[in-house]
Amino acid sequence: MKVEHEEDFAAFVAGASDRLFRVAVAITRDETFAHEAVEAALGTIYRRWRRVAETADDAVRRCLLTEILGRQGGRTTPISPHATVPLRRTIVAGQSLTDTDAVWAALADLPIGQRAVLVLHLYEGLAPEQIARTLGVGPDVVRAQTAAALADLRGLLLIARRRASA
Amino acid sequence: MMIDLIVRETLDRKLADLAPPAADLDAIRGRASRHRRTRLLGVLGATVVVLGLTAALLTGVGRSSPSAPTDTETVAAMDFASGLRGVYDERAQQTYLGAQQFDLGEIRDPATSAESTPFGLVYFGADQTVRLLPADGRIRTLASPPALPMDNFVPSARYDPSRGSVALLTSGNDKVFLTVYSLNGRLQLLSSFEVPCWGSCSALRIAGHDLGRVFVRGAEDTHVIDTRAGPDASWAALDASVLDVHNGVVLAQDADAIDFPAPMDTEAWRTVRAVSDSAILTYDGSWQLSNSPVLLSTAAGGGTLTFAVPPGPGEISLGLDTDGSVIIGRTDDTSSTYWDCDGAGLCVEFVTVQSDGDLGGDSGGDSGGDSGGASGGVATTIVGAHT
Repeated sequence: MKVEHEEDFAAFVAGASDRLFRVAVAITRDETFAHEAVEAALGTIYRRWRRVAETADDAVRRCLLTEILGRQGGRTTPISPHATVPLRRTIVAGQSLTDTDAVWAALADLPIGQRAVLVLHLYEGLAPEQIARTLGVGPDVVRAQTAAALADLRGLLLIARRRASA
Repeated sequence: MMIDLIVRETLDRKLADLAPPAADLDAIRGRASRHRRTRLLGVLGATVVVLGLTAALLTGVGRSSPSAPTDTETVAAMDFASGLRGVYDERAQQTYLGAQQFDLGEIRDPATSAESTPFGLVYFGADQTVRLLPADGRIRTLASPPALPMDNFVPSARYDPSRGSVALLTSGNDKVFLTVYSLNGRLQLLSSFEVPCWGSCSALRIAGHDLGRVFVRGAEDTHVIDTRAGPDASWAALDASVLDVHNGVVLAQDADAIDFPAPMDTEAWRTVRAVSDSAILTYDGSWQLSNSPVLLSTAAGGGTLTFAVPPGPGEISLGLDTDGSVIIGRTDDTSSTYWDCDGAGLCVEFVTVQSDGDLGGDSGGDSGGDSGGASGGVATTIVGAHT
């Protein structure tokens, strides 16, 4: 890679890596894996820098989600809006519906696909069409997953609140 | 407040508290160059690549070292060349694995829950956190502790050599869940299913995991699911209590044949009647083991294979090792001695655990633990015993 491209890439990494790490942690809840996923995504971008430099933000986000969701190449894996997964975090009794710890714990209980959609929409501020391009699914799937995730989250928080008041 | 605003505020606050590690440009460039080499190797043959991926996971080659990981513990690197040779001493909470001894804390229900795989030991911690301990000693978390696990529920784990995946049965929020993780090349969640509680939830165990199918045994019968089907998979009941499954052989209690549901009825599944309710199969499905150093062939016509462990008093326990060998333990009042036995019946002693919790690795002796002391016995378990 030419020197000026190296400098551009280094500047991009410096500006993007922290936010990518935060996105990865929000989705995976595993800092070690998040760090590795970010490095892998940036490594992919480095190889293709000349082609993707103009749209590097979108490209690296796609690579990161591919790393996290375990997809390979251009193949897409449908993410069921209502996939059943174990509830992995304990919501501590006594927390209110709007307690950030309770919401953070409830987010961890969502299927990873739903969590990814919520993080991209509410933290990254992406529109459904942008999320759809990032995940390789249709905008309708994104909208359905967002609605399902918020509904499931509301239910989890209500359960937590009932437990807290019981 | 709208739920989406609450979530946005939560994400902003929680993620602002994170301290991202500094970006390592050299590591990123290194990943890029390794990727190129991997692509070149790919044309040499799929087998080489698969072996390379396996080696990478086992040895840590090709992985960067995350800066100051907060949730990763590391123990001494191990030698899995002779299999995992896993033994857990409950009294001392010491694990003997890959010719190393270390403290992993309390391993929950090691006989049913801990599973030896070619990628390392998969085990449940006391809080039911699921962890993988590979040969490089870097412990990886597969799943966080479940919320509100059921009382009296014993989590279980089984490895499917055909897919390089491990199935876990856990409880949380008054439900039972089956999750399947790929260990083959990289850790990832393959599928997850809620398990109906046929009869009692607490009686459910994974009886077998083979060729993509997971067999879950309840108090009276067994159900099977094809995890490869993903969200479309459904449970099918089997009219038998399945004890173990390996390489297409289904070891069933009190049954010589099972009416398999479609499409299993057209596949080459073979039922073998178990000689006891604690019997297990060898990895290749060729032999069944049951509290004795004498193995029974699962082939028509039978036959036996006797492992050459030295004679002596004590209770015999058995487990499988990842290289296809069988681990035999003999426990008496003062110690437990363990042998690694191969398909020719030859056995090598690899560890003796004394009643005070001391482990002596690769002792090479042949006493078999017959010193006949009067202490209160030894609480050790062979990992992978599946009792």
